[in-house]
Amino acid sequence: MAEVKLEHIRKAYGKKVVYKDLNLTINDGECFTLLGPSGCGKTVMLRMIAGFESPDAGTIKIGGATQSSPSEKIMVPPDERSLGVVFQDYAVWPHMTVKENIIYPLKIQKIDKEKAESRTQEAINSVNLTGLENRLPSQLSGGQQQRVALARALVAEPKIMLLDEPLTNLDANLREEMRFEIRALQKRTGVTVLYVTHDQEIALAISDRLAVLDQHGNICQIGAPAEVFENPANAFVFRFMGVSNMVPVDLRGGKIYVRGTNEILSDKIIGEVPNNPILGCRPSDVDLIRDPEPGMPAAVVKRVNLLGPIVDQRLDFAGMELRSQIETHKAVDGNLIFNEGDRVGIKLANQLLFDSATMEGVVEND
Amino acid sequence: MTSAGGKKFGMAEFIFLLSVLILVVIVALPVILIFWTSFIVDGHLNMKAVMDTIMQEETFQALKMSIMIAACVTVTCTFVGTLFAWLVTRTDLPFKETMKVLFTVPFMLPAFIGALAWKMLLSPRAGYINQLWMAITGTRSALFNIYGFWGIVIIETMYLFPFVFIQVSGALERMDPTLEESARISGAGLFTITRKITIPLIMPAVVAGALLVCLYSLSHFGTPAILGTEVGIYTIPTMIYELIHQSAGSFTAIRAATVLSVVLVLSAAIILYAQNRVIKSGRFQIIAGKSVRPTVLKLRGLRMPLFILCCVYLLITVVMPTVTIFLVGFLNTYGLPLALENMSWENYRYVLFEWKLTKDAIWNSAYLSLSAAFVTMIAGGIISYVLVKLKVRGKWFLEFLGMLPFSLPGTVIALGVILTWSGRFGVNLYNTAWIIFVAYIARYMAFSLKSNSAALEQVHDSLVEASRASGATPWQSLRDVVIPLIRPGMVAAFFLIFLPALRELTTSVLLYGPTTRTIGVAIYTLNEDGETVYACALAGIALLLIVGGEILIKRFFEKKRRVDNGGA
Repeated sequence: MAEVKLEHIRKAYGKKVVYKDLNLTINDGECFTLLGPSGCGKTVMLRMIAGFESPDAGTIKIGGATQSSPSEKIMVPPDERSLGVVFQDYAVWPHMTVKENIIYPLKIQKIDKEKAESRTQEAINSVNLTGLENRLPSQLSGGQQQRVALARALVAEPKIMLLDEPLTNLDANLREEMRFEIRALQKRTGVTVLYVTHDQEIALAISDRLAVLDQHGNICQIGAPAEVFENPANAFVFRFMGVSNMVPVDLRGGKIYVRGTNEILSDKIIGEVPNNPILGCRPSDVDLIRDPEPGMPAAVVKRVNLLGPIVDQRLDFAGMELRSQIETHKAVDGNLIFNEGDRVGIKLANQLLFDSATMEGVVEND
Repeated sequence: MTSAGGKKFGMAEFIFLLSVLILVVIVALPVILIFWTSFIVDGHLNMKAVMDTIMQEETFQALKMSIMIAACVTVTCTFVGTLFAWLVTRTDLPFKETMKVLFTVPFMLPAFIGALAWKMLLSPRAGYINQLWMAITGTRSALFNIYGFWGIVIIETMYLFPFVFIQVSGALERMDPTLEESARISGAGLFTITRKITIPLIMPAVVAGALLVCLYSLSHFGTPAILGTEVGIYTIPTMIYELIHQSAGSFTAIRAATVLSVVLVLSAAIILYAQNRVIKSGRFQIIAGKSVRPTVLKLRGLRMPLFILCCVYLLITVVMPTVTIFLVGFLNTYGLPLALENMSWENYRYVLFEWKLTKDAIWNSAYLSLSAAFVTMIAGGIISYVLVKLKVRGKWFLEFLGMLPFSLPGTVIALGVILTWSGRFGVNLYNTAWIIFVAYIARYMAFSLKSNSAALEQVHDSLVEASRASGATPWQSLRDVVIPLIRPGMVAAFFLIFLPALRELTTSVLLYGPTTRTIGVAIYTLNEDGETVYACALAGIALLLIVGGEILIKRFFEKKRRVDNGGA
């Protein structure tokens, strides 16, 4: 098990700069998630740690030992880094059976045959593939192939496990089940895990800590899932963590107004005052009020969708779309399911103020 | 533990340079020498000399004849191939599946053996059919004289039409029937559907097949050599052969041959370019991928007549010439009637076990095609690996070199290796088996590249990365993952080379020496020398080898496919 340290990493493909100066530490034994939109360079980072790509500058250390460092002319090849990698497309070898796939890393390490057999069987059991040892990958479902890849990555007891969007190709039920299994395996073996995904739900569910990257490869925030979800560092992180409402506002005399109006959204300001304030709030924090009092911010109901446990209502608020989601039974009890065209009062709870310049991520000063 | 990163000379660079070296020596150098010899006179570019050579009566006639033959053969093959393809895929012709297989059989028969058989059937006086005709009608004029322009066109059509047939029947089979059905629902009649939907959709396949025929006919040696030379008709390949053999090394003759080769290479390049464009434009249109059940046209009253037409066609193109070859091989002397009392196994015995010339030919063809297939398979595998998998600087150069083998007709390769390996670079392979060996590698490199590249493209990068991450070195990944996965492609490449090389004539006829005749050359020269019965006996043996080989390989691949599918 080992700590992974990236120091001053620079990486570019031709003119496209993926990372300018990246610094990141993944602690020993934690499950760390890189979360970001597709194309932000998450996979590049994973491939650099694995040794499939070399950084243009900077140092990558695993367990204190330098693995990549162009300035020192060090580039340890992937086969000497003690890795387990699970690829998005599984990369299960189609010409080998389940067992042959999983035992391969041990064979390469020339581990005693009996020992290798028993460890392979253990790995097979741990991913619930018992009984399928002699099947070829073509005879397995996507989820089973995924588990072969997982067992193969685990069997040699690597120092770190790298998982590149391993669940995106699975259906929703299986995704949930595998998410749980990966977490359980990681807890049991104590291996350091780097998980790369664009799916914030998985990231929140699986991680000890996670890093949110913006489109340009800048780290916006690193923290525990609850911390990132509750206290997003900027507008981008807030928006990336789930469905969000963004309302441009003016701050005057300690109060928050809808921009260009006298409608007060809040009569106190918490925290810093940004340059171009924009207010964020989750649909679940938009309370609707039947028969608004005069002077209260109000909106017109445009569309009403009953989504089972919640009611999703879209409102026209001063020309902007605002979404409100209320638990269905609460909405029914409070008579809060409206008709299209109704005029309703709104109250925004848990307001967060951001600088609107951070909508797309970290503001770069160059 | 650690190795230097960045600019060191690694495995990638090594095999990149190796690939470039192979292609330069085997393919590029001969072509460069051909262009150099034809365009440069006394160290200067001399276009006038090139034009003079082309405008010379002999060469000009050969050029004209080649183009006319290729044009006619292309038209007839397109017609015949498309007609039969349509019959076996879209109508209720009886025994469709069997017929489909049978129509590809002419592909296995070497055209020059067909030409030899038809010479014996339809030569003006001695031809068996003509004799029969004269006996029945009592006239002294032949039914048909196979020597000449139309004879060549007909024989080439018989053996080249499968190019079109295979392409078009494939396209018709893969075509999404809903395209036609929706036209029918819109109220279009069958004729309108055929004209507006079906024909435009299969057009790319038709054109692609036609261009292949054209390319093949332009560079084909055997048929015009057997049926044209005798009556003074020359094509580009036979003229090159004539120039090289009659000249005894005179520079003017060799230069004329290189000029003709340049014409061949350029036409081949243009044809291949056109074909590429057509295939690309056609790819998105047809085809929903899987085999589907297309609507079948009921032939009604025409069903039996068309079936009989197909049978007669196969009888004439496949059965009659093959039987003729075997029967004449049994004759004690050529010219005797085909009666049992004139026949024995003697010719076959003599050719197989006694006569050094034919024994040598069989042995030469066997080891040359085996070794060339093996080496080309490996070399093509390495080059494809660089082309498909590696990221190295200057790869475009290799990509360019990799295109070359596709546009080199056999005659051109032969002339190129003569120019390259006759001592100019300190190595003289002339009159040895080695010169045929290097020519075969150049000639069949395209097959190997195609087959290996297709196989490698199926191997995703992540499969290799997964093995690297599992602790395998690059070589171990190659051994355990890449090679097992591309093995079927490599085996296919091997047989794609081995079988055509076994019956090769066009290239080896320009390169053979006294002891290095191949089977094709031996049959050709025996026929030239009037040893017809021995030529036929050897041709019969060659046919058995070829057809036997094809059947074995088909069995092998079918069994493999069944095993693979059984897994799915």
